[in-house]
Amino acid sequence: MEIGRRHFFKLSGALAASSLAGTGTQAHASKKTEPPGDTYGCLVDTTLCVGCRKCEQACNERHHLPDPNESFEELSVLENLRRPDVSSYTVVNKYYPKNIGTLIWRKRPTFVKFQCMHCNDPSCASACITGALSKQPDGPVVYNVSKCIGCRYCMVACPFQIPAYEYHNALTPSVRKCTFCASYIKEGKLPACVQVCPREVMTFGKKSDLLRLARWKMKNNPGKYVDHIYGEHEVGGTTWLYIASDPFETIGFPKLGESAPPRLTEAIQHGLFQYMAAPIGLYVVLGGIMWLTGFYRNREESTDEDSSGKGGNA
Amino acid sequence: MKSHEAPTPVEEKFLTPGVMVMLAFMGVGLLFVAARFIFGIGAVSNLNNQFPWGVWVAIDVATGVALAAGGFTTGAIAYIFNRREYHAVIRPALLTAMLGYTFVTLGLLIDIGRYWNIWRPMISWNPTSVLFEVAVCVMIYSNVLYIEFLPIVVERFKGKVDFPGRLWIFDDLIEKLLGIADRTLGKVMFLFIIAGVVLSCMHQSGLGSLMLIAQYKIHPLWYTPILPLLFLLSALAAGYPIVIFESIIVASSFNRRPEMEVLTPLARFMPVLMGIYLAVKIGDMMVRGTYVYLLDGTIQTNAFLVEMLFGVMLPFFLLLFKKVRQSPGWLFFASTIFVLGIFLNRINVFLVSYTPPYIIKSYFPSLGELFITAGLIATLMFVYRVFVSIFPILGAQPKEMIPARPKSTTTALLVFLVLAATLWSFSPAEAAEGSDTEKMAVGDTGQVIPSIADAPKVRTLNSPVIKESTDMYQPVIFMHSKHANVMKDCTICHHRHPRNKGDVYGEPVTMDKMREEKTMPKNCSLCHDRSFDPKRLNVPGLKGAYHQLCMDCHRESEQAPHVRGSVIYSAMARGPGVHPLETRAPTDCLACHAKKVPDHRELVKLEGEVDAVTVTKNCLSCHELEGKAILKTAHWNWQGSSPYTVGHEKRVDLGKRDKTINNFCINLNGNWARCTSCHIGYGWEDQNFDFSDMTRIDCLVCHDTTGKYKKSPSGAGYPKKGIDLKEVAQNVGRPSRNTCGGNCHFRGGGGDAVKHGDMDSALKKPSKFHDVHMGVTDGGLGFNCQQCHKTRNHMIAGRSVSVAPVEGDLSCQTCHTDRPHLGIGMLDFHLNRHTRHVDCQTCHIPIYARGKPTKVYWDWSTAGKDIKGGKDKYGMPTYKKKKGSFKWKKDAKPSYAWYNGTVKRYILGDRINEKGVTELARPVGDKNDQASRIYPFKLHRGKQISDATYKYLIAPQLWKGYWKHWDWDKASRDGMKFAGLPYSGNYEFVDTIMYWGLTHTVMPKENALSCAQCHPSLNKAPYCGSCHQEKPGVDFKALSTEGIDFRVLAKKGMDVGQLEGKTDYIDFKALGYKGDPIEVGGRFGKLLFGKDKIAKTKEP
Repeated sequence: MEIGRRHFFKLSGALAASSLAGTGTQAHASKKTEPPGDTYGCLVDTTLCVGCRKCEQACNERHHLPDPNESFEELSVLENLRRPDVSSYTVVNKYYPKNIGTLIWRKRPTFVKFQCMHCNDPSCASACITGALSKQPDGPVVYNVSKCIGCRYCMVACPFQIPAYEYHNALTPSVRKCTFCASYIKEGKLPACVQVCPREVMTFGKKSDLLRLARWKMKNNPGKYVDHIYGEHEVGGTTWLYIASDPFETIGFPKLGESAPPRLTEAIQHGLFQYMAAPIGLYVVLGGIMWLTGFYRNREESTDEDSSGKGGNA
Repeated sequence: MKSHEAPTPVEEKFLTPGVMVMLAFMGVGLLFVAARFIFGIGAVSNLNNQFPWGVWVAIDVATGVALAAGGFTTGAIAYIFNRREYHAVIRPALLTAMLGYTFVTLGLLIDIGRYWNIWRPMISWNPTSVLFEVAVCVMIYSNVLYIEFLPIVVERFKGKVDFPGRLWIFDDLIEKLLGIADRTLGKVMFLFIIAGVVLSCMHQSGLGSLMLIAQYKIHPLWYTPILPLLFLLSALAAGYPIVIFESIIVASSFNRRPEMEVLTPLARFMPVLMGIYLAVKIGDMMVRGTYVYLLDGTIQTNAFLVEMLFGVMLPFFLLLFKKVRQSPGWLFFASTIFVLGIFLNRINVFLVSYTPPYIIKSYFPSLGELFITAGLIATLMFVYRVFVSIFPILGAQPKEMIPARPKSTTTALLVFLVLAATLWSFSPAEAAEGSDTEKMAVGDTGQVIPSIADAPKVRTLNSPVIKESTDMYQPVIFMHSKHANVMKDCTICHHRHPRNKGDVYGEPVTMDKMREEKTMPKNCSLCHDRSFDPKRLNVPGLKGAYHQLCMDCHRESEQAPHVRGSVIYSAMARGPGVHPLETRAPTDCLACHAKKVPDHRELVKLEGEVDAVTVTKNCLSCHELEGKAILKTAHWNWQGSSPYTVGHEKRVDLGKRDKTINNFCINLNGNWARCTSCHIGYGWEDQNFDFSDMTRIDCLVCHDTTGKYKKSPSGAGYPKKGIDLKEVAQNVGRPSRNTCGGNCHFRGGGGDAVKHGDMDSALKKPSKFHDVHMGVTDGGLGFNCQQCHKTRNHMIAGRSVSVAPVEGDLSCQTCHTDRPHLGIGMLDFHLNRHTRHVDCQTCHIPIYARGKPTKVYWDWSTAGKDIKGGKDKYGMPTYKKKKGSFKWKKDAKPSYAWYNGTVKRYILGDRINEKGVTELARPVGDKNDQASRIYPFKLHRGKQISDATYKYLIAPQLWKGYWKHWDWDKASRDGMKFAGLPYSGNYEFVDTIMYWGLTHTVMPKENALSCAQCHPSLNKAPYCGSCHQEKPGVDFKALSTEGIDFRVLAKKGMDVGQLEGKTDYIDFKALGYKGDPIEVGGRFGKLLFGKDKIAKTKEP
């Protein structure tokens, strides 16, 4: 792949035009034309996923994660709600339509692949006490184990409940989560799951292109998709985007607002601690009060006071 | 205030019962702490990926910090506001704070996984992290507290330093340091006092900010942007109640008088601070409108109500009364419930309100977590007890009349009760449901254009483009013409065509348009070459395109009905009765492509000379499941369920293991080691073979790819000597025609082509002429056995007249459907009408045994004589002393019979047909049976030994029996003993017959039987014209004689001379017709065929 850091889209009609292929401009490797923050991403078209679990398998192989108890060919595990954990960075869940069992020809269940969403403004990275989690400029949110102290605040912070923790490792437990195959992306290769997916459920590319692709799909398949690109705005936008034929609440996605949680906490943090103004101010005020009350009275009553005044304690 | 005396160390008895209880809690806690550090957090806690923070954070840290607020609040009032009357409570509050923060750190060391990395935040700063701010503040504040405590140490030890023993050498040094501290501390202490208050305000509020980032997981009753303010206010409000609570408890446990003269004035501030907290909290609730949740009855709401009503409002109102503030009992009560309220608030914020979107396992603290928490609290109390005994902290107060009040242990118990009461198990979130799916929008045009008939038969989807990304599976052998035939519309798959060179998106096409423009469908890879090409992300790569398209139909549910080719009349696919076979498109990966076999050279770890069983054990070390699967197969058991054997449909024990009999080498009983040389196992030498022993499985006979593996002809399944089994094992792969056929099935009956008329070694490398499917030259499709005999769990699909067990249906129709003739010509129409009455093989395998001569007659009665046998025209022996006389056939015309898929089978012990030929295996069917169709068979006749008295066939012991001693009587006696049937002592030889189905060696369509070869009526004018009017341009004669030409074959050297010019290839009279069905009428009559019916339909 030679996607590299190139910007390919200078189309006015963009993907929506059915004739777009012929009008695509030549790639030009100019960094300047790249819109700021246009990172790599993935568009997951859940209507395509059939739950084969190949992505899980490929992910485990690439990251040398242990094999699960049930083989990857065992599809009955999809009947249970699963979440990413320390030995699987990505899982596919199966969501039945509600009327299952009452119809002879049941409607197709929806399969959803979950993994780290690699938020544009990741709560985990904002929360991490040591900065062990960080957002890469090209998209992935990566984890640096050497900085981690194992406090699990990232797990509390993540709105998608992605980071998992090695609870049974006594000495060197680490937080495990999807890496977006960051080192591979850098080399122009594909994430393992994207590469293996037989149906190309996931489309890998620049986020702006993916959003255009998502809208193109919606326009060209009227009625197929709900009019929502999950991840376009959720918690400030995510690198992984989803489109689906069902409302996202019904297929396992949390309903989230558009502002990124770190904006609030960091605003408070900055408000309180900008240039340490507030603490210093408080210090000066308290010192002033102490001077007004204590210093005066201390001197006044110094003759009959016991030792506690100066060193008595505290 | 001088009413109380200067603090002194407590001189009470140390080991009180309360202290013992503390020690017990400490001991148990320590055990769990040890477990946590040895086995990890997961071993002692219920923390999981959904609930990463539990009581350790909520109580040990969050509550611990809140309850240490007494330190900075009293410090503030006593020093910053310089109200020295409160100095009496400062030292205990300071000690509590210092110990509290120390234990917060200890609790954190237990809770954080990489505790040895706890120093890390000092160098790796993340200023955006609230936790970082809290951690830094707590760290600095802890040190501030230690410094603030130093004067007490100085006061206690200055001038009294006296280390025991040899350590006296440090006495001077320490004394000097204490002196320096004494001189300097007093001058700078105010700096630390102010810093303590500032730092406390920072991290108390910071703790509230902690959960702000978990915006979507915190219940709205608690989640508010002013959470940090609420935490600060609540900590401020909690400071004095804690001091009072602690002071009264300490007084009680040391039998002192509560310092009410300090506590009562202190209590005056409490309702003010609580009121501010309450007002802000309620105001926030009003502003955010969260009161709507108050009555919804959830755990969260109830916990909130308890916290607010009993933990904040009740103490607030109580403390408004002077009497409450003056009464030690009431003051203690009010302070305690407020402390508990704050305790509950912290637990609520950190645990109860924490409702993440995905809950697989809800959280309730484990015993380990609770005991570690309890142990920490007990240790804190114990250390407090030690400190007050050593250092001058508590003011010396004589005991006075004090009301009985709870002891510290009961308080601890109360704490746990509250804890337990607040922490119900969380109800797991219900899994989201609901879906809506689009309908298949594939139009059924029903149009057939010639190009479908001309569509390429089979395509191997083996593009390097796909291999580039993944190479997990072998390429798909795509039955292209089958799909074309079923869908009858090329444009469902070939959906767009490039308009001109380089145009990669193209325009939509339809069949009409293609026919109009006389264009052919375009290759998929023309457009779908690259995945994720940024220029055209909407065009999937080749792998994606294939899977997206194929799986539009090949999916578990909702297969578009019109693209299913229903097969209604396939005897080999179903038993009697007319059941439609649902030829639903397979949906799993392996149905379309086999997995690639990894290179076993590294995987097979064998050393030196190995025996067969060792190899199997090595295989099983990875493939245990496969071993278990083998144990259930017919290939292993030589018996199995026989649903198509008439009268024995429910049996599972039929098969060549012992129950069935043939007219070749008759029966297995007594003949094991010879017969079982074709068994996929090792060492089946007698009846006692252990069919549950996986180590006896012969993996190599099927999975060998070297061609070097051979079984010993009479070795009970063991391989021949001298084979490098290690090499074979390291080169295992998928079975092939060389293993399935070469090792066994081509050689059925003990020699090449002996048993099967349609399988012999010629299939190893046949031409298309010999077998269109397996042919490897002249445009044959090159199929391996498994392309048709689909295999699951080592169960192999396929049906046979000659053997009983069945592991899966298979018929030509599975691929070719009921309407296999794809053209739109008159002939195709007629041929497709035949498919419900005549099976494919009948016309398409006009002659069998084309490779090698096959045995058609075997007379055992002549065996044992020393006559010299000759050779027939094929060079095959006609007599062998061991076996008797034979007849062979080559290029033979099959026999035809009705067959509905079920078989009448002779089972050992059945009575023979005394009046004629005993049928060992005969197809069941009848002209009037709608499920029956005409099939071709090879007949094998025999003359074999039978019990003359009991009238059943004998299973003689031949191997190491008759072939050794030439005594039929002894052979019968021994054999029947193994078979478990009585033998009368009298034997005779009776005629038997077996039907062998012909399904392999399908000839190219040009060599199918012509209409005229079976229908005599089509051999004379007007040929088809008796029904059809003359059609200009249609040569009916040529049409009706289009097919196999035996003259050409005879010239090629095939033994078909006698078939030339035959017009009664199928003997209709033998099949129940009065003559040629065209003339006398047959089953087509029911399908509005024939003059009578046509006339009748015209009448109304």
